[in-house]
Amino acid sequence: MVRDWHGMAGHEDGSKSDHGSDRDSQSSDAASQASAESKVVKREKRGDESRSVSAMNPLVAAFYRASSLQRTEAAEVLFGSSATDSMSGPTANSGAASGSESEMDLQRRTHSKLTEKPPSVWSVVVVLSVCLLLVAGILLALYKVTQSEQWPTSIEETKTRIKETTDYFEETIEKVKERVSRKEQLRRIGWSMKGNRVADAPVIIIPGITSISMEMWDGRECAAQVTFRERLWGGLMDGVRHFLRDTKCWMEHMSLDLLTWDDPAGIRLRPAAGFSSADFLLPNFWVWGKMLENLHDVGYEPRNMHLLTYDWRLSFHDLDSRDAFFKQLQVHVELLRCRNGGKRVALLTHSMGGLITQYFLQWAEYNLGTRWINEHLVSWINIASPSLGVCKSVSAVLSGEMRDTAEFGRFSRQMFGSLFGYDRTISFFRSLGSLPSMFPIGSAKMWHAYSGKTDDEAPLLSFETLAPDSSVLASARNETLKEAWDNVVQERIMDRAQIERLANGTSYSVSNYFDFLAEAIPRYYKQVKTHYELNGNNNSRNSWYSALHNPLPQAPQLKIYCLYGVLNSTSTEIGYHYLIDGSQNLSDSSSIFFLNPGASSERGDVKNGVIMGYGDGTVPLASLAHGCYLWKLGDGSPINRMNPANIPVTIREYLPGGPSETRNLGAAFWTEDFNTLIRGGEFAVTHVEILGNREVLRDALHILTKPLRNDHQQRDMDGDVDELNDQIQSHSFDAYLKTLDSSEQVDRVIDLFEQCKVSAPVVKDEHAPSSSDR
Amino acid sequence: MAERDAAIATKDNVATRTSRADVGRAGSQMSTLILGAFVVLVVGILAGTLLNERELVRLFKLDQHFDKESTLLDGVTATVNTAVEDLKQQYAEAFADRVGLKMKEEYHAFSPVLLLPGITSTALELWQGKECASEQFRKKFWGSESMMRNFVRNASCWLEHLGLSNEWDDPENIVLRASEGFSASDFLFPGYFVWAKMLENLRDVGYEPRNMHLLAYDWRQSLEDLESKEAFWEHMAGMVERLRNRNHARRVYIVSHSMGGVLAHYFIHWASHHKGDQWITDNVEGWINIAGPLLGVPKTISAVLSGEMRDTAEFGMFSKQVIGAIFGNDLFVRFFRSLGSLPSMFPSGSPKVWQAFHKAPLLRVQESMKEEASTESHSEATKNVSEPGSPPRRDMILDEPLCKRTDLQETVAGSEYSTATIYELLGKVAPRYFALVQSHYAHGSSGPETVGSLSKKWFSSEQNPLPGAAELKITCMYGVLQSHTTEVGYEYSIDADADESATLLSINTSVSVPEFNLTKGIYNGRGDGTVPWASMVYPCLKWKYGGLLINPARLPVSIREYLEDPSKLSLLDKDYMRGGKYSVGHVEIIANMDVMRDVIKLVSLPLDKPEAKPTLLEDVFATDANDIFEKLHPGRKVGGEE
Repeated sequence: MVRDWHGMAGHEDGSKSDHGSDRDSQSSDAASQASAESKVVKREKRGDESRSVSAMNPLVAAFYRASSLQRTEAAEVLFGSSATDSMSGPTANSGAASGSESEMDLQRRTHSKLTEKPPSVWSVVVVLSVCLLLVAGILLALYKVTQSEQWPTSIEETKTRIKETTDYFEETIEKVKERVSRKEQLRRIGWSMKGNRVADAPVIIIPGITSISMEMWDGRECAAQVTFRERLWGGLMDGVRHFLRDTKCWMEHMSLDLLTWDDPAGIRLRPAAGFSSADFLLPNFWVWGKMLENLHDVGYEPRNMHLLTYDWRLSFHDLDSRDAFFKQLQVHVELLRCRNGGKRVALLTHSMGGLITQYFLQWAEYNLGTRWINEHLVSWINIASPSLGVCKSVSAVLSGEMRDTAEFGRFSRQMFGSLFGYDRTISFFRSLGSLPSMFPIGSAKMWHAYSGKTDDEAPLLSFETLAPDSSVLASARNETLKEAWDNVVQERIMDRAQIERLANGTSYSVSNYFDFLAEAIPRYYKQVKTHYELNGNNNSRNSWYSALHNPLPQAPQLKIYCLYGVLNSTSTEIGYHYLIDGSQNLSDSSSIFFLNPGASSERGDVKNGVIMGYGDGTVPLASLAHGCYLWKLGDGSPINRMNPANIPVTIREYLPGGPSETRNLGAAFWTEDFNTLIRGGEFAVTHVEILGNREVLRDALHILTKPLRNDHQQRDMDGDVDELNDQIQSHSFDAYLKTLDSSEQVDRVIDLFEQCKVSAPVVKDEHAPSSSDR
Repeated sequence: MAERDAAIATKDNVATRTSRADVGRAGSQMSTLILGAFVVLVVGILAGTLLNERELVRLFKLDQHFDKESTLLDGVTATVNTAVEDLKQQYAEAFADRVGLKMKEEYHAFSPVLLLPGITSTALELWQGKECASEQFRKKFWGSESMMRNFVRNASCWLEHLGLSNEWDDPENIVLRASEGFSASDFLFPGYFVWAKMLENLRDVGYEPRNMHLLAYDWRQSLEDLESKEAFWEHMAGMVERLRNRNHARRVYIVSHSMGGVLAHYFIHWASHHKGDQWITDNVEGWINIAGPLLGVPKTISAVLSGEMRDTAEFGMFSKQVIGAIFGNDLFVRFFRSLGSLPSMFPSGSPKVWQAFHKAPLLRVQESMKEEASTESHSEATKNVSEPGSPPRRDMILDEPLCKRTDLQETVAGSEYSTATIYELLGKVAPRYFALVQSHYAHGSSGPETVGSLSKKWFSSEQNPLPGAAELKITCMYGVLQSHTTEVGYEYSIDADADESATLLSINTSVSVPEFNLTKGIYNGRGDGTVPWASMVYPCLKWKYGGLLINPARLPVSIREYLEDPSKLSLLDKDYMRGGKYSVGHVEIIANMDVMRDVIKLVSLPLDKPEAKPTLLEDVFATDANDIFEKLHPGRKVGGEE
């Protein structure tokens, strides 16, 4: 075919071309096509001289031929000869008729050799350039057409030809694109489950802190350029561009009012609604995006799935009273159940969303009764919930420092730290009513069991005075206590003596650091107490957030799954070494404490004043695991106090690098997707990235779906694959045993744990890399 | 071409639709477009290469900012700066002109508000698509700029995805779902506001997500399917309760636009039936019905009959060009028949009413003259099925039996159809579709007696008296254009080209009689450009003055007409293209300054009277609707206190 065309064109021009293209590389193909194009143009010009209508017809024919040739050519280059074979219609036939049989075969063979390799970027480039040339040709032809005085009789025909040609190329480009995306798709865990399982329980997704986009409904003068309802947080962050010069103004808008935890005067930020408010935090920085895609694969869509957004800055108390959020959650649970034939609803939560669910269960038990829970909820998939809190929430409100802010790594740290003054940062954190819900709770014993450290090694907070200046100290003692007030953080300013007495040389553990907060930042602490029952002594509404102080509701129909990641290295903040600025006499708490940059250990578990322990990079292991163990196994006493109805709890831990057999193969680099790679690969277990972890996705989907009907036999053979086993991969169980008081309790817990182990097979991920792949 | 067209138009009722002329015109438009783009490109390149800096400066008058020493850069910055200053100035002016901003000093949000958008105003996201729409997961398939992109890329694919199946279900492998939240309905695509301005003004007086909710829904579903597939009415009731809970038990105001009005009407009957009138009294303060077509819209009939209308349901020239020019006729008809929501807006009510307000027939089919059928212009669908085969031949695309031309010629030609009889015609030319419609909607006076469930009638203001919730306040707001530019009736003719087809009827574009406001086969009347006047005013008048049979609990009703005032339109108006800030067009009326002021007055309370209760506003009649109503119902006293 190729030769035929070149023969014809060459004849016209008297220039040689021909056999070169038979043993072509792909690019020389393109070149010959290009020359063919230019010949068409020349030919047109010649035809134009006669300016007759009949001259248009051969032109059209030549054009058509050119396009159909490129069709087959491109198809062969891209898809191998099979694609050409399957091409139908007059195109292939006319070509075959003019070329001799043997040459055709030869050609085909060379092509199939060429195309054994997968198509490279170059093939795309070639197609694109050919496409461009063609479009230029068409334009020129059209130009000529419009120049002629009369309309050609076959304008309709010309139109269809042009349409066919452009259609074809669009199609080709689509196909290439699809090949690429299809590869991704095939690797998606949801896609591979699609044939076997189908969506069952309707799902409500509750994201964590900072994962939800915030829109500006009202702003102060410095934000006058922000248009109505632009996003100041999340999404494309389209509103943020207005604040590049005035970061303080942005901070001002993001904060709540320091004293009331309500909207500051003249500022209203509200959460965006719908899936798009929590799928991506920044362009390409997925949060729920991957999970949504996989859920969709197995049949989830807005009719059986809802993403519930909320203002993540509000305290839980205010979420209820100001936003009626828990009522909203109830309405949506009922709605989803109603929409899906009475199927009970699953809750899928991440991070602080887990605490909110914890609160909701208590709220529902109180307001709607346990019957409502039994009838409406089927399971709670609790991903990386900080049930005992997060240490960095303390350092954030104390000094505005942390290794990174609550969730989003270096990015936020730099934003917060360097852009906005010091005390502004502190007042920002103190204005977030939601933060104290994540103050670490429990006993020091619990925390140390999981970190494997003693109180001396890893206090929550410890203080030293930097360069104690005796003269300052002396004068301080003589001075009378003045009532002074820091207007930025709204705290009473302390004098030196007080600070010394309170902090110098002392250290505080999880058990007693509230005493310190009460003295050091009294106003804030008092405010926290009005919203949260930190010691949890009574079963009031304010303690509902806490897993330690409220038993689970009497709803045995519910199932709880705790999924969380544990990093191999100690890289999660579990305590802080603070310095006290000794050069000042009077000071507010905000500017006098700072992390001791000199405190680092050789073992690497203390860095720049931050004590590191096990965890998922953000939430310590104690917080991830302990609450779930407590629910699952009780504290060793005969009755499980925290889970009186014996709601089944499944704990699944994930280690970085994927399933154990592939863990050391560098599975992170197995993926080709750059975006996944920089987030730690598809088996990353860090706090946010775990939402895209292949194993977690598989397990979450497994819990939510049911096997397709024709799968009954398989099911019988495999046993009860609907239930997931516990998967304990770290030392968390041993640590949990350490938190128990007596050996009797330990024995009882071990017995219970053994009973829980069901001999069900583990779900296989067929497309996961295995050792044999490498 | 134009001359020829004109010639055809002046020749009275001869139905000569020359496909050649159409094709020629379309072709010339396309090549002109391409040529134009090309020329612009060339000129751009030439300008770039040939002109030097100084010439550029002179060309764009940058030199007025020049000192002798200054460079081009300074000039550019200066220009940009002035431009920015200008923009700021404009912005400030626009800001000051916002009605909400002015009212902020006097009024503050009171009743929580539930917004209910109309047909086509809610964005639809693609959850699953065929190959031609791959990689679009959760992108807005309708209601964003990517809508245009998709359309340009592959128009028929786009239409295929947008429609439902012939059975009003999701087509195979295609799932489109309504998007959520305010951004689902603020702009149809960037720059084309729908609710955006209303939202901003409501915000000014204190509305925000805590006391305002926009209820997006899939506007393609029939009202019954909304319930069975999405539990929509449960959802709406839940949202009403939640808004009330959140706002000190203040009752909720429902603000609806266009088809949202039909939905609101359905909702109050649904609620009255399922939750009781007491629930309505406890939870709903009132209903503001902006441009709700409660007697339907005639163009829905032409849309499902032949896929034609002056523009599609709501969005003016844009959609017309988009949808009309490019698809085959059959696909286009199928699209409209696949929308389950459309029959909720079939014209209803007694023919007398329509006649009184509009003085035009709803639909007339003309006798067509027999012409030689040109073999080429058969539609594709006909070709597919016209091979001799089994007796009941069907159109595969529309899934309808084919009609014989001779048959139609005998039965429907020459007859005139009114709102009462139009269903006969539908039943005749589209029996399958009509049966489907009847299984979802009971169109009262139509054809055979429909013994359906109660809920099939709830959409219709004709067949239901208002519920007994005596404290529900109803306000009807709508615009009336000065010109007669709203479709109220059609002249149809039987296609002379084909002997047998499912779509033999089409609008007879060759008829124009200026005295009857008949242009190109379409009777135009008063209205807001989309919905006829009768449809917006008559139900409200009837509620108000129709007596106890239609409004047994004497719900207070207020009617406010907004007459187009061309003198208020200034060239400087930012929204000049949309008719200015006092435009009363069907969509633009949501951003009309007067309408926004009145809505705010209704839902909020004056700051200086904290004890006040929400009250209705006075009636405003700009037209003679009252007189017409009195003539229709001689016994009813209109205008005074009842």
